[in-house]
Amino acid sequence: MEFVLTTEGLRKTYKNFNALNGLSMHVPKGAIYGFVGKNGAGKTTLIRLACGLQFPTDGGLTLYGAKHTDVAIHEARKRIGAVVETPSIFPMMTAEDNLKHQYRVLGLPNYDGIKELLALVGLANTGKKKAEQFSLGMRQRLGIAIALCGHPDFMILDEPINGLDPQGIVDIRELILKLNREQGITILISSHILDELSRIATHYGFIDRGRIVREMSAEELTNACRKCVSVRVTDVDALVRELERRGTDYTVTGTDSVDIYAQPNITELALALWKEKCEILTCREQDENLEGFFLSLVGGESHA
Amino acid sequence: MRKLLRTDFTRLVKTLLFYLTLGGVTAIFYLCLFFSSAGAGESRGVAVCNTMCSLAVLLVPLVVCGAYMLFVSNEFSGGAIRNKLIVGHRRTDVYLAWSVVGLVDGLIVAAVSVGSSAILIRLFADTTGLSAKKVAVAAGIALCMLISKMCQSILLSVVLPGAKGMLVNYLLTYALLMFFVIMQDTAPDSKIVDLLARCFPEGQVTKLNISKMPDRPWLTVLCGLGFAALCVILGIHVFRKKDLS
Repeated sequence: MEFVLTTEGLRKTYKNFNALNGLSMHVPKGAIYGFVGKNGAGKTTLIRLACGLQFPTDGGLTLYGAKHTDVAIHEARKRIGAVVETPSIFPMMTAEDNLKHQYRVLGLPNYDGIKELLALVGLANTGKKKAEQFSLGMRQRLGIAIALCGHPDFMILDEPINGLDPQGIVDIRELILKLNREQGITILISSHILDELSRIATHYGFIDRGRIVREMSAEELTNACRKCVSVRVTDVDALVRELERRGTDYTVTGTDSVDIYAQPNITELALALWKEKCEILTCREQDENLEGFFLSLVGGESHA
Repeated sequence: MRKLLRTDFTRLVKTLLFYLTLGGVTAIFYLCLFFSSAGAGESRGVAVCNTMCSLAVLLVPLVVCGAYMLFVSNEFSGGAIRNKLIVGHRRTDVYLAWSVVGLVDGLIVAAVSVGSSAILIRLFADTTGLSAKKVAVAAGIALCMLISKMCQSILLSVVLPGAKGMLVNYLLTYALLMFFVIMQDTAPDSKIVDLLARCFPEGQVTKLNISKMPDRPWLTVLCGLGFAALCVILGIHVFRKKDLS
């Protein structure tokens, strides 16, 4: 698998506080990578390091094959666009002037495509209105439009739907999906709104206390969150044979445990297994969503 | 670097503050020249030139550099600096572009205000008591002072972006100005004070006099430019290490 961004043992220390504590993550090319973590877990710090706004204390970061210490990292960064925390805009300029400014930063020869970009993010009719008069949602959209200048291959969006109304959230979601599917842009997106993230992400990275606690694909997460009956038995082979005979969907999760994706009649199953000299040790129903899965990974206690 | 220069120049000339600075400084020049020429009698040519010289070394650097600090700080406060770094511009290039644009900004304001005032003096005042050489030396030192002050201000903008930096800049200016003026009287023979006065823009003010030839003006220019270069090197070093949010 080809990766756009990888980090290995990344550390970032602010005085005595470890914001990142040996973080290793892998963002596959073409993915929408959902970056999930509590407040203060280190999401924004990682994004700042990836964007070159801050420098790692230790460890390595590779962007398009270029290490953060290589000169080539500057070339690799030309392929990215990002919105970090608050949108980076000049409040005294109009939306169009902000985009023109970014075109000049990128050294683009003309201003072609600005109107299309404004239309894409829903700011086509802002005219001479200055960005300081924009609502939070409009600023967020302008930030995304600026990040899209120069057709990046990789977009980093830090809480992009913060402050958006429900319609705005839907618009941004559709925009992200469109950019990913039609233009093949890889997207790293951090968000607290897990339900929203679960609608678009193809891969996930769960971060806690400056470490990635788990990376997984959306498919793996769906399986992990699927409603199932988790059964522990003395003979897994016997259980598997019985489930195969019944045509029931299942996953062997350990040497003595199986997740059954159905609502089996436990008495029938127990009687069938008894004939094979197999005992059911425990049996519990599992029904997790992304939120539940996240909390089970990082613990439920809140951070100050 | 070329892209950054184009970006910063375009933003500068589209900023209202640039025109306010240009118009404001020039208007103050004309006003002061008018009042100083009105009551100076026969030697009014020398008097207005002295006024112009004082304004060139005190008003231009202070106002232009203060305004330019706001220009640089805006990039930090709005977060727009991120857009330059995210797309791969080197921090050294970003800093150098600020320095070049800042110096050109200062030169434009100085050229318009001092230049147009000089033309008016030449046309309407008697300048026979003035030596062209002394005026040229004074202009050279004033220019050197503008350069060193601009480099010092950009360094402060990066170390302390925003209002804090501007406050420190003005406090530093007045404190150093007082220091060098007092030292000129209390320790006139001190070689260390003399060297510092030639390096710091606030000290260079004390080395400027249009009526008599200053002592070793080349040394003042050399020290001033050395100080400016040091500020740029230090600024780049600080900016390259700086964590941005």
